[in-house]
Order: sequence, then C-alpha cells, then structure tokens
Amino acid sequence: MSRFMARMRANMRESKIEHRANTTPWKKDLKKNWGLYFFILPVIAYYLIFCYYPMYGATIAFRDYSPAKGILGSDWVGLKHFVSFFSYPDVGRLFRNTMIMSIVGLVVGRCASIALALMFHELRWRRFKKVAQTISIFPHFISVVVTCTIFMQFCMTDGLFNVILGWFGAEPKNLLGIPGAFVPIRQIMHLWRGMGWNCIIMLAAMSGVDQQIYEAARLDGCGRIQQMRYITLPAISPTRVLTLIMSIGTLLSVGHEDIILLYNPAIYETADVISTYVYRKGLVEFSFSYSTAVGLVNSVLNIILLLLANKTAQTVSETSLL
Amino acid sequence: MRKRTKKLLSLLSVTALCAGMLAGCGGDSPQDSVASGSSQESTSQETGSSSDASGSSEEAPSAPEEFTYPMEHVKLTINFGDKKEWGSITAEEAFSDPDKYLMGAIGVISQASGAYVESNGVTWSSDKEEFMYMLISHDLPDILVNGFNKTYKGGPAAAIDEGYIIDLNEHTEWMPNYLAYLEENPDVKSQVTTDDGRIWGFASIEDTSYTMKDRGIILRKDILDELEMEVPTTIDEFEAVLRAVKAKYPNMTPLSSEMRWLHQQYMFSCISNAYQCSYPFYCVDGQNVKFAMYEDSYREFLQRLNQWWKDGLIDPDFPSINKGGVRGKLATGEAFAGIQGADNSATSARSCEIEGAEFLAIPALKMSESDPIYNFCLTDMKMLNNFTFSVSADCENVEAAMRYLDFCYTEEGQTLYSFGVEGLSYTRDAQGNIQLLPEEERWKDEKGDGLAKRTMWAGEAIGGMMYMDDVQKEFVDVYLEFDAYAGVNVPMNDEESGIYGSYYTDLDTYCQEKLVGLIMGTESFDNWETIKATCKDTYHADEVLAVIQSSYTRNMNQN
Repeated sequence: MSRFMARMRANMRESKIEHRANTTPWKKDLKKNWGLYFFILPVIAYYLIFCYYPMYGATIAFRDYSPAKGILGSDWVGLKHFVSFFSYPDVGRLFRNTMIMSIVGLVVGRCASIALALMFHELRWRRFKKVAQTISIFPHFISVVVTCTIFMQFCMTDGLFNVILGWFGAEPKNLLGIPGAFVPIRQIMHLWRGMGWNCIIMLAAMSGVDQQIYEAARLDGCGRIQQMRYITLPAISPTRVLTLIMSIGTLLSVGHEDIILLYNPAIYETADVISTYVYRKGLVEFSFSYSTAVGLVNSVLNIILLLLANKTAQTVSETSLL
Repeated sequence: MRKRTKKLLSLLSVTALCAGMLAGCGGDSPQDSVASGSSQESTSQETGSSSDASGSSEEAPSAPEEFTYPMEHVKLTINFGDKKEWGSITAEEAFSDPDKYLMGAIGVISQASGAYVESNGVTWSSDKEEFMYMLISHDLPDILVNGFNKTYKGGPAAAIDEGYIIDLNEHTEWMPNYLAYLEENPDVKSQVTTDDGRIWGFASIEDTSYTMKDRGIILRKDILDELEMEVPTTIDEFEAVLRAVKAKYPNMTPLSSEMRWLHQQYMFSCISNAYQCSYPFYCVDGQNVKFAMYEDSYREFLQRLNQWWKDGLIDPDFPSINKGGVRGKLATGEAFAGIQGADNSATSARSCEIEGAEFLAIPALKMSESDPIYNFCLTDMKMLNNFTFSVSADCENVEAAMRYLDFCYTEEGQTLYSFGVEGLSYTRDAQGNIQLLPEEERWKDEKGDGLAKRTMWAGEAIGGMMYMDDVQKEFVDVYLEFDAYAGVNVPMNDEESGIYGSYYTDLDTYCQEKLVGLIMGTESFDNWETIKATCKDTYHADEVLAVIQSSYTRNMNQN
C-alpha cells in the first residue's frame, strides 16, 4: 500500500509540474493518473446527483407545479411567482430585515468566535481549557425550540434580561414587544448557541501556527497581547477570509425557525424576514412553485454577493475561494 | 501481484461507495412500493366472499338489502397515524386474536365491520412532504385519508382527475348509510360533492355541540367576592372590576391573554362582542359580511383595549406570553382573569394551590344587558374535519373499503367510535341512554389508550361533552350560551379560494401588525383612515371581502 501511495504522490508531483508546463493533453493525463481520477468519481457523482440533478427541479419556479402532472407537465406561467413576490408591498422591509440580521450576525458572531478562540488559545491550564471549551460547545446541541423557549422566558417582564436591566434602573418591559430589541435579543441567543461551536475552526487554525515564531517574538520582547495581534491573528487570516466568504454566500438565507418562534406582530417591523414571509404564505396555500421562486431569487442574490466578496477578498488580501 | 490486489481492493471499495450512493438515491422509487404491493396482494387474497357479494350485487339490484355486517374478514390499508408495533399482518391473523389486534377505538370498529385496517404510517396532512411523496410515487393505501379540500391545489376534483381517489357516486349501492346521512345533512353533502356533482369522500364531522365554542373569559370569583363586586356581564362592569383589581392588588395582572387571540380563531370576540364585531370577518345580520378593519365599531373596541393597555389592565407580557404562560399565571394567582380555552382553564383551576381560589367562566361581554351574544366563530353549518376518508384509485377491493367506511354512519358504528363497547367503556341507563363509565374503569390497553378516546373517524362524532371533566364542563356550559351565529367560515369554491389564497395572508399580516400597534400605542388612531385605505388599495381587502361574501351567501342559500 505504501508503495502505491508513493507512486500516487510521485504522480501528483509530476502532474503538477506538467500542469504548470501545460504540455500534457488531458487524455494522456487521464491515462497516467487514472487512479486519482477514479478517486474523485464519488465526489463528482455526489455533486451530480445531489446538487446538479435537483437544479432541473428549480424550473417549477416558472410553472404552476402540480405533483400529479410532474415537473415538465405542469403549466408554464413564466415570471408569475416572481412578480407576485416582488409585488408584496413590504418586500423591501423583508430584504432590509434579512440583510440587517445577517450582517449583524456575521460581524458580531465572527468577532465573538475569534475572540473566544483567542482566549482558549492563550489559556495555559489545559484541564480548565478543555472543560470550558466543552461547556461553550454544549448549547449548540440544544434544539432551537428549547433555546427559543428559554429566551422567551428571559424576555418576560420578570425574566432574566429585565432583572439585569433593572440593576441599571430600567422599567421592566416585555422585550419581545419592542421592535428595536429583537435583533440584539436574537443575536445574544445565537452567540450563546453558536459561539463555542464556531470558534472550533479558528482554534484549529491557531494551533497550526509554528511555535517557533512565538518563541522568536518572545525573545524580541513581545507580550501576550502583541503576540496575538502580530502573530496569531495574521496567521489565521486565510481561514478568516475563507470562512467569511462562505458565510457571505448564505447572507440572505436567514433561517426562519428561531424567528418564527420568537417574533409576533408587534415586531414585524424588524423581525419579519424573507423566510418567515414564505412560511406564512405557505400556510394558506401549499405552493411549491412560489417558495421555489423565492428560493431562486435568494440563491441568485447569494451567488452575486459571494462572487463580490470573493473578488474583494482577492484584491484586498490575496486570499480567495476561486 | 500484491500491488494488483491492493489496486483491485481500492477499486472495489470506490465502486461500492458509488453504488451505495446510487442505491441510496433510488431506494424510494415507486417500483419499490412493497407496502402497497403486499397490501394489494393480501386484500385480493382475503376478499373471496366480499367480491362474491360485489358480483351478486351487479347481477341483482336487490343485493344491498341482503348485506349484513360483519363482512367476510378483509384487510384494508390506510394512511392514518403510526404503524402498529406488531407490523404488517393479514386479516386472518388479526381476527384470530381480536383481544390483541382488534381492540382500541378503531379495532372495535374492525371487529364489528369485519375489516382489519392497517396504517401505512403516513400522515393524512396534504401539506406534509411524506403525504405528497406517497401521492407522487403512487404508493397509495386502500383508504386515502386526506385534506384535499383544504390544502390541495385544485381541490378534491383535481385529486379525482389526477387518479388518486375515486368518485364514490359510481358505487352508490355500497354506501346506503352514508347517502342517507348526506340526505339528512345537505350542508355536509355540499362539502363532499365537487362542483360537478362527484362525491369525493366520507366526511368526518366534528362534534359541533361543543367544538370551537369552548373558549372565553375566565376569572377568579373569590377575588371578585373580596372586592364585593357582582359578576360582570357588560364591558363597563368588566372594566370596573379590572380597575378595582389593579387598585387593590397592584402586583396582579388584571387580564392575561396570548396576543395571537387578537387575530386568531375569534378568541377576543368574548370582549369585542360588546361592539358586535370581531376580527377579521363576521356577519351579524345573516346577509352582509363585514370586514372588521372597515368598521368604526371595531376601531372603538381597539381604542378601549388601547386604554386598558395604557392603564396596565392588560398583561405586560401580552406580546410574547404563550398558552402555558397564561394558564400558569392564572394558576399561581399572578393574573385575575384570562382569555383561553376551557380545557386550559380547567388545568389552571386544577393546578391552582391557592386556598379558597375559585374560577368562574363568564359569557361574552355586552354593551348593555339586552344585547345579544354572538358566536363569531361558527355558522350553523356542520363543517368537515381537517381530514376526509376517500377510497384510493389503487384500491382493489372498493366494495370492502366503501362498506367499511359506510359502517361508520350506522348507529352501531357511531356508538362504537364515540363511546366504545357497552360494558367495557359505557353502560346504558333504564331509558337506554349512554352513561360513560368513570375514566379509571373504562377499558384501556397497557399504553393507556382507551376504547373511545374522542377518536375522530369517518362519520359524525358525538358525545364530546361526556368526556369532559366536571370543571371543564362547567366552563363550557357558560360559553355555549349564545344567541346567534355570526361566523362566516364556510367552504369556498376553487375560484374563491384562489383569490382568498392570493391576498389574505398579506392582508392579515398587515392588519395584525396595525391592530397590535394600535392597542400598544405604537400606532396612532389618527391613522385609522389611512390604514383602512391601505387595506383596500394595497392589500385587496375588497376582493377578499367579496369572495367571503359570495361563499357565505351561496352556502347559506343552499341550506
């Protein structure tokens, strides 16, 4: 087996060189490296079956889909569902709220998880570090429904948040009735749930940094803060940029589960997002086509944002996905 | 040689991986419909005498009179609830040990009718993926329980045209009891008949003697007595009581409720009755349907609530409190009054540990003593349940399926699923009236499932009140006292439901937001005219009102 692997590695090296020289036609390459190509087959199959084949189903966004008639048999209605979505008078508000919640989530969530990862990274007491990390990851495994119920209790007039606000002299109010409070409340909930989980990838990147660099820095008189600032953070910047680009790709896909559980008509102004609207719409008439149309709009905008972010990252930090 | 073996091994493993993935994808294809295949086999094998009966019925029209239950043992499949823990068995096996396989509410119907009914584990809910998947893959049970009239595009007519269910009119000889029931109940008949006269299913009818009328205001009678106040009947008296409670017990919430009751299920009509209106649509004169947001009376009602909110008479947790919260506040004495269902009020009353606490349900409020109390939720029509029992197009023994469902419309069938078996769950008094045995004496299986636990099945369930405990019954008896129906919730035709579906959600969202804002003071009543105009111009309120008016008029004229 080791010989096989050695040959594979040699092949990879060769193919790299050849690729650079761009001298080998693909047929020759295929013949030479068939083993490598064979290995990638399951992955290609996965993408074809689970990602590309379902795309054909996306055409139901342009049809009045009926399961009995099938995808191709359903009536073609063109842009009817798109027009219907964009003619919703509050469509602007839906986009605005979706963007605000995503961007706040992105900025605050990322900063918090990097900060937490830095703290864990700097901890020298291993046992405490392990326990603390496990505890921080734990909320990720609690179901959204349970988390939301807990936070709803916190927001009650006699709930935890009001007790804390009371220390600063605030009058107790039901926080889920105040439009301006929804985004922070949801964000706090997400931090509690996701901070520990999201910092894992950052911690992994940090542990990959060469210890000799820290040693050299210490010899040059760098303190802990300076080491963080000048070594750890720059060292993990490719990971940061890549995860940032990937999260931008899902910017408009704010999940509806937690919002549906937390919101109420009093705070639609700040809490109603695209996915909750589609959910409400779907309750009245189970329309596959309509939700596919909205999903398609979401995906197209997500791709545009992703490409923009990628381009910006390429220009600014020379790190990119593509 | 070794190298080659290893290569081969790796190749094999990759191939296996690919094959596994492909198999995973294709496993659920329609060809794999083992369940329906086996059920069809079993039904065709086991229905010798039934098909004989069908043969004879074709030859001699007098056959239906000769038919008697139980049928020759037959197995039918259905999509209703979970699969039984014993898995799939044949009719012979089921009937060989009825105490094991044929007990429980559905089991005793099987014993009496002769058809063992087995669920394929799929839900009946048409808006669930698994139901749609069952349709698309044509993996249909014999009896297809569905909500085609509620959430299916094109409605029941489309489901017949698309080949999922059959038109029952083709076999009227196998449903004499159902036809008789439909004759007696034209309002049900119109709901199970498509626009072109095809009967698409066996109706399941809610027990209208109490459903949807079992909610309203509940308050603490002992506190009322402490305040030396009379039980309020008018809105002014009620407000005076709330203010007195607030003054004497500043930490107590005078009135608690979930916010959604403002716009759902006409729950707040127990207060808005004083203004003779309720959100969203209602009809108090039996002719003209009204839209609450167009009415000045509704604005006055909202102004009143706004005043209550400002004065701290309404629960400050109103925006986010849930059912359990309201129930809990009443039980712990944090709230004086609440708006909720009688079942929840009964729970509050039972779990309340405050000494001397006494809960009292009061009827909907009036403006003056002589005003009527309306039921804004219902019309006097019998309404179909959310699910209806149709015979699937794949059913091989249509006669057995129809005879089985038809049995539920006989008096014997109705008694079986409503009350269970005489001696095991009920007794009859000297006049022959049914008396339920006390709950602990009724037959139950090891899981605690009874013979008749208010099972909704094909047919009209009766006796709902009998299952209520005394506390709940006491509350419901109060809420049942109303003078007239003012509901407009009637079946719509395809065109009407199309228009309603396109506009109502957006209109409702807008109105919910505004009416909550008006009550909580974030929206000014000066904007009332603007809100009305926005409902009309932007959210198509006129169109929605028009289709509700037309469906209401048509249904009322039919009956």
